[in-house]
Amino acid sequence: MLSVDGIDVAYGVGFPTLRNVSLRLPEGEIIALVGSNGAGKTTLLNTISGLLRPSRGGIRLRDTPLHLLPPHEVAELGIAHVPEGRKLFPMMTVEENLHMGAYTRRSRPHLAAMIESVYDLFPVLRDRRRQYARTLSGGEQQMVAIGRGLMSMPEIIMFDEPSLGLAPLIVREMFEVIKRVNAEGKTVFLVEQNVRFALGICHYAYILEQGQIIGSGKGQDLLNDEFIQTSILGTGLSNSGMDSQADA
Amino acid sequence: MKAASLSRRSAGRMQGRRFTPMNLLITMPLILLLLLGVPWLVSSPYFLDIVILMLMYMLLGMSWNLLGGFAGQISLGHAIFFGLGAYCYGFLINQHLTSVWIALASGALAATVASIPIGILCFRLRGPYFVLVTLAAAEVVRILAVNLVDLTQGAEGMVITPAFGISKTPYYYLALAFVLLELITMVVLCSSRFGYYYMAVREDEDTALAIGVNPLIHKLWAFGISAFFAGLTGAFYASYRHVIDPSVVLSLERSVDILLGPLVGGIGTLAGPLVGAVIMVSVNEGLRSLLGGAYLVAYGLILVVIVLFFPSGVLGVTQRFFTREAGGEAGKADEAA
Amino acid sequence: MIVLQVLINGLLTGGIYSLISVGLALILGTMRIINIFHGELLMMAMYLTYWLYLYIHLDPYVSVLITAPVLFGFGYVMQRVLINRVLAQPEVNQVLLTLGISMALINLFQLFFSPTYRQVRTGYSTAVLAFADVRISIPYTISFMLAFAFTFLLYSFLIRTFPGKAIRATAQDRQAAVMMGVNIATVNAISFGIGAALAAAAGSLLVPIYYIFPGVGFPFAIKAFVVVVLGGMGSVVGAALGGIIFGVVEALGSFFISTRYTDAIGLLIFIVILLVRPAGLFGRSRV
Ligand SMILES: Nc1ncnc2c1ncn2[C@@H]1O[C@H](COP(=O)(O)OP(=O)(O)OP(=O)(O)O)[C@@H](O)[C@H]1O
Ligand SMILES: [Mg+2]
Repeated sequence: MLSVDGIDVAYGVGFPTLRNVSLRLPEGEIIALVGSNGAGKTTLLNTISGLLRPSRGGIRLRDTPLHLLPPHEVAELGIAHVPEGRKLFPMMTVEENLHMGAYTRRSRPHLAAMIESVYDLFPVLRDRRRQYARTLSGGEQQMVAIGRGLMSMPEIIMFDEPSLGLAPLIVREMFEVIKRVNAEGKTVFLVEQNVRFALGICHYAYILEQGQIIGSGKGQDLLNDEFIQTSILGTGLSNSGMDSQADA
Repeated sequence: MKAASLSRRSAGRMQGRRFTPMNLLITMPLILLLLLGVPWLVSSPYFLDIVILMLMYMLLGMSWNLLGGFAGQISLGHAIFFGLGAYCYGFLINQHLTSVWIALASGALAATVASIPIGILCFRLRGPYFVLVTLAAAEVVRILAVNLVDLTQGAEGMVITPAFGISKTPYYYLALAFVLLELITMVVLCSSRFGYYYMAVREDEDTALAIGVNPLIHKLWAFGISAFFAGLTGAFYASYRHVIDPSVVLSLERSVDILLGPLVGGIGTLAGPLVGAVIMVSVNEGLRSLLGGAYLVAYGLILVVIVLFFPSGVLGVTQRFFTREAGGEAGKADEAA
Repeated sequence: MIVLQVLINGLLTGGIYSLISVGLALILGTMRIINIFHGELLMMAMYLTYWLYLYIHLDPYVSVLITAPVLFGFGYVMQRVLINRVLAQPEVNQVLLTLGISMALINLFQLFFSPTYRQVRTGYSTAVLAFADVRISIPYTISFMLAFAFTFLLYSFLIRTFPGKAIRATAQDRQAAVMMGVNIATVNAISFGIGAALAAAAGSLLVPIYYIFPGVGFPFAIKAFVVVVLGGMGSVVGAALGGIIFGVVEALGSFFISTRYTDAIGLLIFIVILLVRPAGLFGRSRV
């Protein structure tokens, strides 16, 4: 179980971007985090990864205080981060990107087996293994990013807007993969703007607005909640509603 | 703070203008009066020489600072313009082609003209690559000066007919006049929209372009004006010292000396180069007489110490001392970026 | 025939330029910092090689085995203690820090070991292989081949090993590399150390064919700066090829124009190329 306890995070000395944020990621569950642009979702993930430090509060993985560790040690503890915008190594091949995913000491010995399992998950990547990451299509890049995250054999994997910029069909595929990853026993922390999908597959969800958690609950309950539908997720819902209509 | 390391673009940006033009204009008359009296106060030619040296480094420092501090283009080849001004002056005087005044102006103009092709070339590169290309360009010019013996007398050096006799006093007033001229130019520039453009270019070229500021044109303007004053200083130097050679006026050490003033004083501030020149020349002379041959070692080490411990220069340090908020400056810049 | 001779000389000198530039490119790629004292690393290795020859009669080529590790250590420590502290600072401070170190080192050596030119003349220093009119200097050839071998070793290290990949990953996307568990501080220090070791190797290889004096490194460093820009920003492969090209162009230029301008010609050609291709000759590459 990873728990975030009342953290404040600020860029520079200004007004904190995140204020008193608390949440927990129970083992084996999918937890979604939704909220509009600029709410601070990416900031939260970067803080869990150790790239930013909270000025107040703390983050714990069981009893280990993550907020005191440098980012490479957070990765070493089995927390993978599939970042916003994928952030692949552009001049490395698909396979080299996957190698980098298994950079941690805990995963390096299992490199060969993990690569095979990623190729089984995304068969296209097997054909693209020698291709530079920057020459891949958006969907393929997202597959590499997810595969790279899985390579570290994480206990917890965090996805930052995995559906961004992808066609509806591929979005569906990504969500299937995320469910599959979770079914294999990994804890999933899913940040999404595609609210309907995210709430649909998660066990529990938090709503972040303007740096604060303003609500939480079971995914289905949130979807049905009138207040949330109209006032907070209004745009998000109608957008994804249009998506699903288009699909049908 | 951790956050600062994420956005390296804006982290630890140079400080903005701390000394407002108004402040400076008010205190100016007082200072001016004092400055006019210097030749009476300082009777020893040795010390007057040092004061003239300080004025020269103020000229060069302000010139470099326009480009490096305000427009954010770090040049390691500024000696090109200094040297060009010096050689142009020497050539015209020795060939009896013009009067001293016209030769001085020609030195400045020659440097300005040269700055256009050099600028167009160097500004094709950004950041560290710009630094490298200015360094390479300066090296080319130095090698040319060594080898074009007909024009420059090569490594032996060019001896120039003295302009104003042997007393140092006229040179002092001349240099002082130039410093005032350049200072006024800087004040006017920085309080005009050009100052704003330069800062826009320094902070983020792509954004500058997006809001309709053409970075190349403005960098070229800054480069041209900067070269003008460096060339003028070079011509002045040639008239004052009567002898110039490539290892003095065109070397990398000269380029380093030029930017050391603003660095010590505070890069990107109006007063930084002035304060810096005084400190740098004093320290330099002190070290030279104290340490003899070892002084260049100390010089290098001082550079290291300044960068590590006083990265925003003397003015930055005193400012921080007086304004409690100063620690937050970088943070605010971060947020704006 | 004489042009062929010039070409070969240029090629052989270019090998050394490559080796120096590759280290510089590695440092530039990972840390985005220009190491102005790169030439002084070379100079120190030359002195070390000279002393090893003088006192224990170690062959300059063999002394690479000592100079490279020693300078690796020096570079590693310099990075940890000094360079690391300015990585988040404005460019001008980074440039001035390495420049200050450069000045201090040159003048320190001048102070302690005098500006005198020294040289090591081995039995093979003037040996040549002659094919018809073309004479190929044996020490130049050995230096070239060793330089090539070291460059190739670096390439393999970067492509094949995990630490090598971590260096490349850091150069391509620092933040993503951190997320993968890469310790950036270590990667930076190791890259700097490797860059220094390569400069040291180049220094030792130069000893049989060149003079040794405190300022010897600087002109080489300037050429390496040029080569790194030519080769494309921080690209190791680009720097290796760029070094060879630079050597050849410089040799041709000084043959057709004048040897007095040897040092300026390469730089001028560079400026011309820059006009045509500001991003360098080769664009982006894997390493
Ligand atoms: N490096 C940074 N420096 C300063 N401010 C930042 C930085 N990164 C983000 N911010 C600010 O923090 C706030 C939250 O940004 P964040 O990227 O966490 O939002 P988000 O919820 O992920 O948005 P989106 O859905 O658009 O990805 C924004 O107002 C943003 O401007
Ligand atoms: Mg985001």
